Amino acid sequence: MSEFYAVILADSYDNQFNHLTNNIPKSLFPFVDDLIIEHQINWLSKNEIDQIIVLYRNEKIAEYFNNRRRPGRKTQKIQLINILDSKSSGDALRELYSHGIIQQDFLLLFGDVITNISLKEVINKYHDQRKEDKMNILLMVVHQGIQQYDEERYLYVLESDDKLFQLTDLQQKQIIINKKHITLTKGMPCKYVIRSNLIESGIYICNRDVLKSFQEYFMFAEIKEDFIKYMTTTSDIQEEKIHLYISPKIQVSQRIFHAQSYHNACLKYLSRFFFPYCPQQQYYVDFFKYFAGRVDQKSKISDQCFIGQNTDVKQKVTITKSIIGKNCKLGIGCEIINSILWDNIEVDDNIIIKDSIIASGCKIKNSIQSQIVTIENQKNVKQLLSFQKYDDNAFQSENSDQESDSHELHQKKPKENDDQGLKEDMIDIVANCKTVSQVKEAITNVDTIKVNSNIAFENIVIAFMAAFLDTLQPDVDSLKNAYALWEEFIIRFVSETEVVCYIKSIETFCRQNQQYHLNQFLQLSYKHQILSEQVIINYQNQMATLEDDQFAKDFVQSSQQFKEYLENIILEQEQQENQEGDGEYEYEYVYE
Amino acid sequence: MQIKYQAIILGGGQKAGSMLFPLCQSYSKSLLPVCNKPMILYQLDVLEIAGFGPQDILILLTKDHQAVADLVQRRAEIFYVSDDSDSGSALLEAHEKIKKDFILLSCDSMIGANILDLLDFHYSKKATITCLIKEEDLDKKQGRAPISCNLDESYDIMFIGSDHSLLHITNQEDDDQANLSISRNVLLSCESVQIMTNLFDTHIYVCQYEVLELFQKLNKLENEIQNWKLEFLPYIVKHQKNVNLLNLLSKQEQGLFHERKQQQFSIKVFITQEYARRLNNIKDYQQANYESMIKGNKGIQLYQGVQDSQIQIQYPQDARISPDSIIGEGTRIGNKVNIQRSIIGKNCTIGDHVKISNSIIMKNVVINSNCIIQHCILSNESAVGHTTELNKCNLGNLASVEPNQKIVDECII
Repeated sequence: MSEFYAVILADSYDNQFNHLTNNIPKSLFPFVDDLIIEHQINWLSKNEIDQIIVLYRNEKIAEYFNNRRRPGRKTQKIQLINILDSKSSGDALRELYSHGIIQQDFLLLFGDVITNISLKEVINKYHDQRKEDKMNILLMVVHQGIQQYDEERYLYVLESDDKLFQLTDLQQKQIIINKKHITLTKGMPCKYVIRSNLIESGIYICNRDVLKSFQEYFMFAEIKEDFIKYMTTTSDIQEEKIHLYISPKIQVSQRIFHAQSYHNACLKYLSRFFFPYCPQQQYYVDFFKYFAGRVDQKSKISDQCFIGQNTDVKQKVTITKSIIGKNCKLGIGCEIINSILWDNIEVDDNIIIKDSIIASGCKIKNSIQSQIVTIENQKNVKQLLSFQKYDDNAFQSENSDQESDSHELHQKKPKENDDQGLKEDMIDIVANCKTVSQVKEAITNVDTIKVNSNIAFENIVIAFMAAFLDTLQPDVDSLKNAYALWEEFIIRFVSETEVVCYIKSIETFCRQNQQYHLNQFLQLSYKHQILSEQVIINYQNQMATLEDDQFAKDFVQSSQQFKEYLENIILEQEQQENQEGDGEYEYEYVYE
Repeated sequence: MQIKYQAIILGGGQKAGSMLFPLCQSYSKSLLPVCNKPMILYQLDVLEIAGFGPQDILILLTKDHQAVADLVQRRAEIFYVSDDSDSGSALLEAHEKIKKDFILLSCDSMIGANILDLLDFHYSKKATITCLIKEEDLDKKQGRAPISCNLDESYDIMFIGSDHSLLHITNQEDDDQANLSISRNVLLSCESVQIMTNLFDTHIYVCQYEVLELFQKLNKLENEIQNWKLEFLPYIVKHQKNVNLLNLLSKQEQGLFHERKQQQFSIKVFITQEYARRLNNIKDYQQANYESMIKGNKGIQLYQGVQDSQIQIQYPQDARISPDSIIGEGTRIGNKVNIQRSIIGKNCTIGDHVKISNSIIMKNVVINSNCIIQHCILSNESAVGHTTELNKCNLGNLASVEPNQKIVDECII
């Protein structure tokens, strides 16, 4: 193995994690107990690869390696190559080629891969392939599993002996298999297999020829999109071949594309997915919880959590599926849910942190001001709000204006007055909104209220309808204006399951106030696409079956015309659908 | 098992036997004999062994195939369809007679597989349609290359998923574009999909009752779907994840809560290695007859019973007849006759000094003296004049050949 180099592309060229990667490159992100790049170096050394070349763009990596002292690890030869002006991984590889260090085969590794694949069999297979045919230049390592993220969704068309024939992404609805190179002979046993349960791992074993062809073809930017596609499709005589190594089921890898996969990878690591690479055994408590810091007895920590060294967790803290780094301080009564906290973070009492990634050195307090948090060692105050899933919430400064009428959101609301508080809030919101843009703000406000206090959609709809109907006047124009104004809001919160309570609340309102006609409400709802035809027709049929109800009878009579109109529309739609015949059903991947 | 299913045999329509020219000019395809037994009787026997009684078997015929009806009267129910119908439309016409899940056979499928296994498989997989497919391996191993079960040039390209689903089927001739195009959702429904070219469709399908309703509804919308195998089956396979097709199957009542149950629509294949052959062209017909002559270990089980029931006939001492030839009863054989590897039907008359090899001769044929007949098929009641040489000729019903002719490779009506 002495001549075998491992090349780590320690930088990503995409925009996920943008605010974080402006300061720290992705390879230096902390991953549970260590940095990502340290995990990779550890893995490489366990697989007996000692010569590592790191291609980096950000100066921080150079600094990091210069100051790196790792006692107890074998000394590896790590070379750093600067690829400052590269805009894609293709450029990086070209730079590597120009340095001329690589003479033979090398292992290419992306900087965001966490894996436990054993490289011995991989390299053996690679050497076997090379002996057979000098044209086998790339061995792509894939593992079996369910494709979760969009970046993983590809169809692999393989020939016998795992040669990659075609790699298609799953964006288009019809998959086209290039027949030109398929040899189809009658009666021959099967040669081609199409697999959709393979995930590429970001590990490639390449020959020097790969670098040469990157050099020749200047437009190659990415490995997968350009290089592999070119090699498998356009070359008329398929000379250069790409093979796949499909790892056995216990060897997996995970790439960190975006925040969701980052969190997922951390949880997998804690669940000992990447055995034998696991957090240290001495910190293990139970149920995949690792405590390296101090946790108070009265706190509740769920499974799959990691508490870093020197971290202090006070009483009544609830932590669910989160990773806390070193030297953090969590105050009394905090709730941390599905989050990743890096090092040196101070969190005050009674703060809820949900679905977030918080970079090092932050202080989280209970105030309105917000500033942009930069890097470590700067203490900045920032604000938590707009709990959108998996978004780094450190940079939501533009939202500060909207806080003017609901600024009590940070603190935990006491459980009892929820409903009443909600109604008052709603009435406030409805009363204050006069224009469409204000309605947009109101949507975000109600969203935050809903998430904060964990209120069901139904209650929101009921509260809103009560407030909304109060503001109406009994003439048609007022109804029309009101609907036009609140259209977006209603559409946002009334989805299929809330339709019932929506219609019910309108019905009760109309029963009480005879000047309003239920029919008009339904027509306006249909016009603004709040309710669909089928729903209205069902409701009308339902009303028609109610006996002894004068209101119902009146309603049925007045809405007869509308009903026929809707039925016509449904018929037309059906006819049209049958003509097109191309409605594909989004099939969820179900493997038996 | 048979209580759950009804068997439908497509006995023969207008287009039946079009590739078997001239044998079917005025003769039903179902009555063509293999080893002196009409084809359709093979099917009926296989079904009887599987437990189908006469009330469960339905044979669809057009009016000009009356002879078939006479033959099978007591063993099955007959239904006459209109003269120009194709396999699909015949099913539609007979649709009141079809009351349960059914198994659809073509009259020319010769199979050695056990139908009960197929029915079990269909039931256990809850499939909508199950096709009986034979897998063949034409790789040359030792000695002679094996003979394919489909001697026709064309073959099907099928995509089979890991759970035995049929995801795509095209005929190799149809698809002369450079690309095979398949819907993404269909491909994603199985973990791994194999592209197979060595599968032979025996035209035996087990279907749920809803398939017939679906066919009816499709027929109302688009009129080009007439033929079952060539049009309907590829259409369904192509659209098996298409939500519009699923909706056609049954309309559910939609309450206020938008309940929408997905219909499970799956087309599966039951792959067997047993003997299978479809006799819809001359080469396959000949091949089946040759296979029926094989006796002993290498013989095919389907034909064993038929071979054994041949009655020995008297023939003169100087006739040389190879042991694997089959001669029907009532046939008179003249002197110095040489018969090799042939099947001769009942009540034939073979003159003196006749040499017959590799031929199939049906009933009531007269072959005058000094003829040489090689690789021929002579239909019922045909006659060959004396001193004629026939090589690779096929004679239709009631055909006759002048004496003193030498004919190679022709069809004579």
